[in-house]
This record gives sequence, C-alpha cells and structure tokens, in this order.
Amino acid sequence: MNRTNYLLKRLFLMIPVLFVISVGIFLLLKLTPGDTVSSLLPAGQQSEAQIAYVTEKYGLNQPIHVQYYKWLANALQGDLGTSYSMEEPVTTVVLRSAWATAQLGIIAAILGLVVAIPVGLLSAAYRGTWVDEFGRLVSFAGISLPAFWVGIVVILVFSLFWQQWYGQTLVPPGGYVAPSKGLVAWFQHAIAPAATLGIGFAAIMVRQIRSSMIDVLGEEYVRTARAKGVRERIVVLVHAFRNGLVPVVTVLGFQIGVLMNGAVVVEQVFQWPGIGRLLYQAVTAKDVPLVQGIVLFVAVVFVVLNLVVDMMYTYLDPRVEY
Amino acid sequence: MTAENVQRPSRRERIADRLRSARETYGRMGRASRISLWLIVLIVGAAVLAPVVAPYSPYQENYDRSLQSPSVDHPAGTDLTGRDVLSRIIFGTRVSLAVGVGSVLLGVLLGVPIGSVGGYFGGWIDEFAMRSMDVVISFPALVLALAIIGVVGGSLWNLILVIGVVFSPQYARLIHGEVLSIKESEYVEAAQGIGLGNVSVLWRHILPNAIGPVIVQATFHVALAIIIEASLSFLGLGVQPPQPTWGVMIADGRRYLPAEWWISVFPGFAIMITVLAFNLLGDGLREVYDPQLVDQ
Repeated sequence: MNRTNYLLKRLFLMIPVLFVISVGIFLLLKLTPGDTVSSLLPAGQQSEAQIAYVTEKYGLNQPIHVQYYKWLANALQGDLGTSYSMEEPVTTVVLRSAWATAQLGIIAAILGLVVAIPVGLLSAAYRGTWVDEFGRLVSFAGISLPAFWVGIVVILVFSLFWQQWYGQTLVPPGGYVAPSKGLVAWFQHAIAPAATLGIGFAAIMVRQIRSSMIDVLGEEYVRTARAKGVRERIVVLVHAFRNGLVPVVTVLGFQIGVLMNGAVVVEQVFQWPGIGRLLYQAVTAKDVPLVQGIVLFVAVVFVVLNLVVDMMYTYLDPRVEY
Repeated sequence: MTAENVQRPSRRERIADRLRSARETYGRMGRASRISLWLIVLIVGAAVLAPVVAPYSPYQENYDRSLQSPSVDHPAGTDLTGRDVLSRIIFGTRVSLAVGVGSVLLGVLLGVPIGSVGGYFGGWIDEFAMRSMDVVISFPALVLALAIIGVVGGSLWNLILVIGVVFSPQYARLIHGEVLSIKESEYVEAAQGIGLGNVSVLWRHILPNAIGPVIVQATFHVALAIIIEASLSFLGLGVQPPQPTWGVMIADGRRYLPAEWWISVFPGFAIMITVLAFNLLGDGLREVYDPQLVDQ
C-alpha cells in the first residue's frame, strides 16, 4: 500500500471513531438531570417562544435517534449551539480558549523536552548506576506531583514570598496577557503555568526516552560503531539518538492528553483563560452546550493529532510498512 | 479422558501457591518498590485506624487555636476554625484510598469481562467495541471525568463510578490483547480438546495467565485516580465538606496564602507521597511481570 492509500484508509477509519465520540457527547446532554430544555436554555430565557424554538431545532418532541441526527447535523455545520453563560456561540468561545491553551502547551512541551532529553539520555547511558536510579526517582516524583498543588506552591514561593523577601514578584500570581499586547509581559505571565504543566510532561518523557534509547543502544549498528572505535559520546549522541527518538514521537499523541489533564487545574490556579479553565467554568455554570463543545473539540484534536503522529512515524522511520 | 478426571489442586495447595508467588514477586522487586509497598501498608493502616492515629478529631473546632503555625502540639498547624491540619490529612487518606481502590476495582470488573470475552470469541461486535474503547482511552481522563461529574454531580460514589467507567476501556483492551495471544497456546487447545466448556477455559486457563499486566496497570491507576479525585475535589466538584479530603484542604488553604501557607502545602505532600508509593510499586511489579524489561 502506498502512502496515499494508507492516508485514505486512516481517514476512512476515523468515521466510526468520530461516530462513537459524537454519540457519547450527545448522551452527555441526556445524562443531565432534569429536562433537556432547561439544559439548553438558562432559567431566565424560558419564554414560550424560546422553548418552541429549541424544541424544534433539536427535535426534542421526536424519538431520540432523530434528536441525535438533528444535533449532529447542526454540529457538522459548526453550530454547537449558544453558550448561555458566555452569551456567545460555543464555537467562538472554544476556539479562543484553545489558542490560549496552545500557548501554554507549546512552552510546556519545549521546557519539558529541554529537561527530559538530557536526563533520559544520561539514564540510558549510565543505566543501572546511581545516575539511572536518581533519574527514576525524580521522574516518578514528577509524575506523582498534583499539578494544581505545584501551581499553588509556585505562586506562593515565586510570587507571594518573593514579594516579602525582595519587595517584588519574580512571576505574577496569575492572569493572562495576549502575545499581541507585548511579548515580554506575555512570557512573564505564561512561564509559571507552563513550567508547572511541563513537570508531568517532562517526567513521562524521561521514561520514554530512556527505554527507547536502551533499545537502540543494544542494536547491531551501535555495536559496529563502538567496534570501529567511535567515542561513546558520539555513539550515544549521533548514532543512537536520532533512531531513539522515533518511538518517542509515537507517544506524543498521548502526551497531549497529559498536558490537557494538567491544563484543567493549572489554568484554574493561574487564572489562564484556556480550554481547561473554560471546561471548569462551563461545568460549574451547568452550561451543557459549552461542555459538549469543549469535549467534542478535544476529541477531534486528539483524533487528528494521532493521525499526524502516525504519519510522522512513517516519515521518521522509512522502514515502516503501511 | 474427560474433564472430571483431570486432577485439580486442593484449595489449600492453591492458597499456598499464591503466597509463594507473592513472596517471589516481592523478592524480585527493586528496593524503591519494596519500600513503597511498606509505605502503602502504613498509609492504609493510617486510613483504617484514623481515629486512633490522629491526635485530634478532624471536625473539632477550636477558635482559640485558629490559624496556628506548625508546632509540637499541631505538627502541621491549624486552619481558620482551629482544626488540626495533620488530623485532617490523616482522615483525608480515607477518601483518597476509597476512590483510588474503588474506582480501579470497578474499572477491572467492567473492563476485564468485556475484553476477555471479546478477545476469546472475536467477531465484528468485538471489533467495534475495541475501536470504541480506543477512543475513550486516547481521551484525557481528567477532562472526561470532569465533564461527566459536572453533569451528574460530585459525591464519593459518583467519583468512584465515573473514574471507574473512564478507566474500564484500558482493562478491556489490555486483557483483550493478552487473551488473543494466549488462546492460541497449546495448553488452551489441550483444555478445549478434553472437552472443557468455553467459560471454564477462559476463566481457569486463560485469565490466570493474562492477569499480570492488569495488576500492574491497576497499581498505576490507583495513583492516577487519587490525583483525579484530588483535582476534582480541589475544583469543588468532588466529595463535599466538611468531610476532609486533600483536594478540598488545598483549595481552602489558598485564601490564607502566604501567611498561613501550611494549610495548603502539607496536604500536597500527602498526595505526592501516596501517589509516588503506588507509582513505584507499579513500576516494580511491571519489572517482575514483564521479563523483557528486567534486563533493561
């Protein structure tokens, strides 16, 4: 199978996946206690005309499969309903917040990799020694830290205590400045939440990079390189590293999930207007259309990213058969 | 030869067998994992014996001792109403462990039957079920749990239910893969050959050999469930006050930062130590159950 056919097959396989997701998200609306009209309309707007409009639009007086069909037809046209807590179309709100989360995610991923690559490489090169054991403990500690608590401690130390000790804060205790309003101020606000998010990411990447590098270091071409008298540092950094990265890329899709989990609480702690905080706000406001929109958005991003990761895999390792 | 003629070990022999293999597993784990196991024993003990171990009642208000910093009397300080933070942390262990263990048990009880029956019989329903499971698995667990909890409301039982349901597809997929490979082995064919029914083959011959990775995953999941519970409680969507939980304590303490930092900071250490212990134990078990990893 060539690359185009493979891509088409993957795209085709996405249809049942997206179907399952959409049914699940539709059912979220039905799981809500109370009647569906109240979930779609805030209490203040339940005039007869409004109720009639919503009932007609979502087919609420028809069988459930018709209701699903109507909901899906609207969703496919980009109409995910109106968020009544934000008084804006769901699509607009979700896309705006997603951009704020993406900013954090990118910085967190860069910070995470800057830490994880050297630690993972050293753990693999010195495996079985105290360096490896230390790396294991540190990375498991990183996985075990609750992100919201780390965020609070970061604010406590670098913002509140710093203020008492030195008369000024090292990082602001939360808030958001758009990159267009000044890159320095933006970065000052982004660095603390991004670093907090990056801890869990880095911790998992250390384990991935280590185990993948250990596999590669056992390969024959590495032995050949060593036999030729290539210095160990060159063997690790040049011969093994590039190939060791391939399996790491395949788990990147999963890593986005780790970042999203963190975003829910970290954005709340740092008052960062991203999609995680939006989900929290939607949930507390019982804004069901907004919750649906966010979950759908995250799901679609996931499915697409996993596809991209698969394609990257075949690019990085041309031996992979489609 | 019929199935009835096959000698089966007595109950006592089987128990002795299990004890022996548990001892062997313990012996093959690394030092950090063994220490973690004992730490977990301690934590479970603290949860069960909380009224005995805790120096004060977690609900005892004492306004004369409001917002005291850590001291000999109150090693982790007191909160606004003078409640002892350390005692509340010790009682908080109960909710964390209940959600951690309860949700994972539920996940296993839901996922293992679906995955093993599907893997054993196959067919298009199995194919479709596994595809659907893949979708749920790739989804960030906290996002999914938050969305569902937000809709159904937060309580101890809802937390266990929702986290368990969110975890279950992972067990289904895990056991599915194991069953697929084990059902081709000769001893399974032999068991089928002597006329054992599908249920006994699956229950007695396949599952016992497929359960290792499930135990490893379950240990990691207890850790993750504790973090998810704490996160949801922190957001005010979990177990409701006055029941002490680590997440709620951290959220409450935020109002008193930076002066009374101990209210938020100490429960975080409790979460970290408990979660770390389960993660390190899981890692140790993985090394034992996955021989490929042993020499890595």
